[in-house]
Amino acid sequence: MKIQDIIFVIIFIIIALKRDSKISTLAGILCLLLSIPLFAFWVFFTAQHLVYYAAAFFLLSIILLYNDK
Amino acid sequence: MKKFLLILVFLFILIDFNFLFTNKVITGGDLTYVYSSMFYNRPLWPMAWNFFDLNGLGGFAPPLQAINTAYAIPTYVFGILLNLSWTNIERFSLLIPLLILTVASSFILFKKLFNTAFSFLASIIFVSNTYFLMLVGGGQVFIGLSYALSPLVLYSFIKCQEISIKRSVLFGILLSAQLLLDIRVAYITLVATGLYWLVTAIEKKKVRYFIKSMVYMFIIPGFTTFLLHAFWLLPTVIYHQNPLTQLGTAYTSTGAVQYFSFAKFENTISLLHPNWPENIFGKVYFMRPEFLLLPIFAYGSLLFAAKIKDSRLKTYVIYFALLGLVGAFLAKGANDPFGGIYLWMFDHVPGFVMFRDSTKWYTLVAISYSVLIPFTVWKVYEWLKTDLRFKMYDLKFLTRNKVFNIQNLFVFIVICYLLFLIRPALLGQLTGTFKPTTIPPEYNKLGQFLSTQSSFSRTLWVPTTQRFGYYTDLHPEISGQDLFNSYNEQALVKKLAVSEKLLQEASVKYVIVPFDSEGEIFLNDRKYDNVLYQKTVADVAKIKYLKEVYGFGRIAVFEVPTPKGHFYLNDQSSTINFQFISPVEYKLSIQNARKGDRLVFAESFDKNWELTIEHFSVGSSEFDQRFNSFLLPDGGSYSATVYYTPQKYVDIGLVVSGVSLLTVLGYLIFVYRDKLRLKK
Repeated sequence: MKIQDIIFVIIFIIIALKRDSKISTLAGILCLLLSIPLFAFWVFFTAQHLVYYAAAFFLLSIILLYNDK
Repeated sequence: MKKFLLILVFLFILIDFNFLFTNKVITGGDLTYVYSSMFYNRPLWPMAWNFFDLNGLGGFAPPLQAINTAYAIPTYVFGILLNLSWTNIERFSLLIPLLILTVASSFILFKKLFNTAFSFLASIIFVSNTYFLMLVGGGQVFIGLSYALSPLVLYSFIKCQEISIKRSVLFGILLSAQLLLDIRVAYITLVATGLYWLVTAIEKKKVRYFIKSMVYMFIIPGFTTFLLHAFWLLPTVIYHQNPLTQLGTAYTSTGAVQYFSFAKFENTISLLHPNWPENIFGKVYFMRPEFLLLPIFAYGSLLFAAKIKDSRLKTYVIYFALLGLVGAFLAKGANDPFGGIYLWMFDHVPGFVMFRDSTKWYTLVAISYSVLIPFTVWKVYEWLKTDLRFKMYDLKFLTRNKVFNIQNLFVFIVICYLLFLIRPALLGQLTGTFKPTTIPPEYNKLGQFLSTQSSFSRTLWVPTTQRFGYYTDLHPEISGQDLFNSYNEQALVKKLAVSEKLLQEASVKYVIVPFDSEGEIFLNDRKYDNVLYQKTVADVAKIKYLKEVYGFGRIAVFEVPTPKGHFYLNDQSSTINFQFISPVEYKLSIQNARKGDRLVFAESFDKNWELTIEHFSVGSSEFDQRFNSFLLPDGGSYSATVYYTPQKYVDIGLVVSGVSLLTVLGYLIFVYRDKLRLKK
C-alpha cells in the first residue's frame, strides 16, 4: 500500500463518518481534476489511482444519497 | 429554441456521418459487401443449419438464428422484393435507421424522465461518443442497432413500475426486438433493468411490491420474449448446443478475456474507447486527459441530487450514477482495480461467457452519461440563469439578454467541448465504414466466374477471406487461417502444401490468395505489407498439386484437382446426384451402391443429420474427424433424403413465435385503440 492509498483511506473514512454526499462528490471531482495534469505529463500510476479514488467517492456519495431518501 | 436544438442535432449527425451521403460502398470491420446473388444466403424462413458457420463447413444455426433473421429481413425486403443494390440497402435499411433510432431513443429516455429542453444533449452524447463511433466504424451495425434501442428498452422497463399488463407486454416486445439484433447488448440492458429494479425494490421495502414487480417487470415480459423467440430458443434448449464451445477456447477461456481487456478504468469512466480513433485491433493509446471532464460533468449531477424534492427524479439520478459506475467497472474487463471479479463472473455468471470483449459494457456508461450530463448541464443552466448571483459583477446585461447570456454561453461551451472530443470524426480521420470505397473490378469478375458454376464447390482463401469475396450456399468460402488453425502465412502455406486430400474431401475447388484492397489481411506491424502478399502468392504457386487460373488481376486463383462433390461414395469414384431443397434438406439419387458403402456428406459433422430411405433412417457418423457419413443399408439404385432433424423444432418454434407476435400486436392495438377512444 502506497502513501497516496493510505491518505485516500483516511479521507474516505472521514467523509463516510460525516455522511455528507456533497463533500464526497466534490472529493471525487477533485481527484479527477488532479489526475488530468498527471495524465498529461504521463505520471500514470498516481493518475490511475486518483481515478480509482474518484470512483470510490462517487460510489460513497450514491450510497449516502440513497440512505437519505 | 427547440428548432435550433433540432438543427444542432441534425448538424452533429451530418458532420459525423457524412459518409452516408456518397454513392460509394460502405464497408469496414464486420460490415462486408453483399452481392445481389448473395441476398439468398440468409433465408427469411429460419434454417437450423447454416452453411457458412464453422468456417464454411456449416454448423448448428439456432443460437445465431436471431441475428441471421435480423440480417435476412432487410436483404429480403429491400434486396429481393424491391430489387435495391447493397449500397442502398446498407444505407436505407441499416445505417440511416441506426442513426435515427440512436437519436430518438436517447431523446425519449431523457425527455420522459426529466421533461426539459436538454433532451437534445442526451442525443448528442449518445450518438457522438467514441464507443458508438468505433462501433459504427467497425461495421458492427446490428450491435449498434441494439445499442440504439437500449434507452428505449430501459425506459419501457421503468414504466413497468405502473404495474400493468400493457406495459409489461410492450417491454417484452422491445426487449425481443433488441434480442433479435444482438443478444449481448440485450443482456447488458437486462443487467441495467435488474439494477433499476434492485434500487427501487430495496427503497420500497414491501414484500407485496417485490412479488408484483417480479411478475410485471420480469415474468410477463420474459414469457413474452421467450414466445417471440421460440423459433431459435426451442431448438437451442432441446439440443443443448453452445455455439461458443464450437468456436473453441479462444472465446471461452479467461486467458482470452485477459487478452481482450484493452480498456483501462480511466478509459471506461471517461467513455473513451481504448482503440479511439484509429480503431485498429489491439492498438491502444495513452489516456487522453480531456475526456476526464465527462465523468466530472456526469457525477457532478450528484451535487444537485440532494436538493431534488421529487423522490422519483432523485431515484433516477442515483440510479444512473450507479449504472455509470457499474458500466465503467465491467467495461475494463480483467484490468485493475479488482479485475479478478470480472474473470470470476466470466466463469460463473450465466451468460457472461458472451463477454470475452468487455467493451460492450460501455453501453451502460453511454446510457448513464446521456442522462447525467444533460441533467448537470440543465441544473447549471438554471443556476446561472439566476441573475441575482451576478449582480455584484455587473453582468446583469448578460443574464437578461435572451440569446447572449451566460447560461447559453455555458451550453455553447459544453457543445464545443463535445465537438472537440470527437475532432478526428469531424476532420475525416476515422477509418472503416467512415471511409467509403469502391469494389476492385477483379472481385466482380471473380464473383461472376463463381456464380456461373452450377455444381457445388468451396473456395479456400489464403490466408483468410476478403470482404469483397463472393460466397453462396453453392460456393461457400473457407478461411485458411481457421481451417489450418495457423495465423502465420508461411506456416499456413506449408500445411496447405500437404493437404490435397483434405481439400478434395471438403469439396474445395479453388484456392484463392486475395488482393488486399483494404489493407487488412497482409499486415506487418499493423500496416499493409505488399511483400508479404507477393510472397504468399509465390509460395502458393509453388504447391505442386495446384494449377493457377489466370484472368483475375491481382487475385491469385488456383484450381484443386478432382475435388469431391457435396455428396460422394467413399471408396468409389461414382458421383451421387442430389437436389438441394434447402440448407437442411437434400434429395439424393443413388446409383449402383453396394451394401455397407459409406456415403460422405461434406459438411461439418453433426449427429443430427439423418439419411432416410423409404422407412429406414440412419444417423450421421463422423468421417475423417470432420465430415458426415452414412452407412448405406442396401445395395442397388434408389432415392434417399438427407435431413437435419433440429429443423422440426425450428418450424414448431416459428409457429409459436408467429402466433405470439400476432397476439401481442393485436393486444396492444386493442389496448391503445381503447385509450384513443377515451381521449376523444
